[in-house]
Amino acid sequence: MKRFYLSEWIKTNTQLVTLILLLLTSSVSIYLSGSSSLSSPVQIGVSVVGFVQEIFDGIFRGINGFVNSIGELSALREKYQQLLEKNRDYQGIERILADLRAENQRLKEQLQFKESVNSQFVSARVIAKDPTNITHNFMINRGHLHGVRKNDAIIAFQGNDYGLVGRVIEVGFTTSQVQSIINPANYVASRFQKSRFEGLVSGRGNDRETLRMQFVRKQALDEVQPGDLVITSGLNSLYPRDLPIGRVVQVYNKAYETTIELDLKPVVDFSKLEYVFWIQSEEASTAP
Amino acid sequence: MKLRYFVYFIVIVLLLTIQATWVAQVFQWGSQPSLYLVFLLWIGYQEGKQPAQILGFLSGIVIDLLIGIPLGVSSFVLALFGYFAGIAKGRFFYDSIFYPIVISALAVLYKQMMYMLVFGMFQIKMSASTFFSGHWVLELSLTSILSPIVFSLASLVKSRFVRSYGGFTGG
Repeated sequence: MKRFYLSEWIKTNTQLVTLILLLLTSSVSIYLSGSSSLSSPVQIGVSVVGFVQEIFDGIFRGINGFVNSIGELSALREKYQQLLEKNRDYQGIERILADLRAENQRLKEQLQFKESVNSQFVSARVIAKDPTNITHNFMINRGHLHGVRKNDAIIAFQGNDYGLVGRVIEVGFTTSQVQSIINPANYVASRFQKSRFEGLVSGRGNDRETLRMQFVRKQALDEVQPGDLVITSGLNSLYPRDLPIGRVVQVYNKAYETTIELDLKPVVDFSKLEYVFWIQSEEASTAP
Repeated sequence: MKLRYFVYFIVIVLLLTIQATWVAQVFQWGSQPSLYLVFLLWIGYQEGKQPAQILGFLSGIVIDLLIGIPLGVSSFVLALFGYFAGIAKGRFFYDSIFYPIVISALAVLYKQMMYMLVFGMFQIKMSASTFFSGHWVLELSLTSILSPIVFSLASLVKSRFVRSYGGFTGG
């Protein structure tokens, strides 16, 4: 009977052994990723990756701007001639313009003061999205340097409305990773704006689909209507209260369950995110 | 480590970066083609199991850092992917259009299934709708359509920048 020697088997199956080692390393890494021991290398990695993303984003915007400017050149020439003619008329009201400039300057100073007092909303640009189409997480161009902290809430303004986008899950030096509320791992304590019934909203992993609101008491059935707005309740201390999340599109009532479930249409269109705002929050930084 | 493997890794990182920034801005339908996956397929066919699985593992780490999922998930999926991609080396010849299209479609299917499996194995919270929505059909179509171009460009990269060029084995 032929004897089995491990060393010989390893020599003849190098590729398979390498694969097993790689898979084991990955598995151990996944297992440990919940502990704090990997936090620091991950933060360094996020900083490096984010920095590269920022460079590419800048290049793209530069090229995009250059291409657009060529196309607009001829139109601009025409407009320039028209403006030259109009400029003659405007010379007469130059004095008024000077007054307006001075007034504008004073208003700007007041606005800056106001912003320094209420510095909770700070704008950020989305510089990279998930290339695997798996998580729909994205990266913003604000990080530790700008004061972003883990678990800070992210919102977005679209049209005349604004809504909750997600929260910061990893902070690099100049960039941060954001986990959107369409990610199923992200739960948001919420309530109806009108009826005040509470529930828990989670994503379904798809930016074109609805959010799911669960654990809403059955008494809400009489008071909840399609189109009702759902907002953050602020109860789990991750998100500030009263941020719009989505509107009711469908209600599911199962006889054997004590609670109802609802589908919500998010206020924010996640496929069109370009600029977002992050909210600094004392509570958020201490939340688990 | 041979120089060309380092070049391949740089190309993968470039593809991922381009995909996360430029491509994500062009394809604003919630899905985008997985160009890095096609390039890994090409590496597997050209270089075999060992380089493909190691490069898959390394690119997986980059992806995990990029998208903020537990470190190791993508490296697990892509190391195994590299191994399977490497099986193709020397097994059969292919034309430059039909083979990339078919194999890339299978690769996207594999990626979706493996992510679901790994998320399930390690109890990482993800929804099934992420994997069985219309998004991945779009991703599959886009990836397949663009795969012949990626294969051609990859061959060009090899012929231009890698000294030990042995010739493109495709048809």
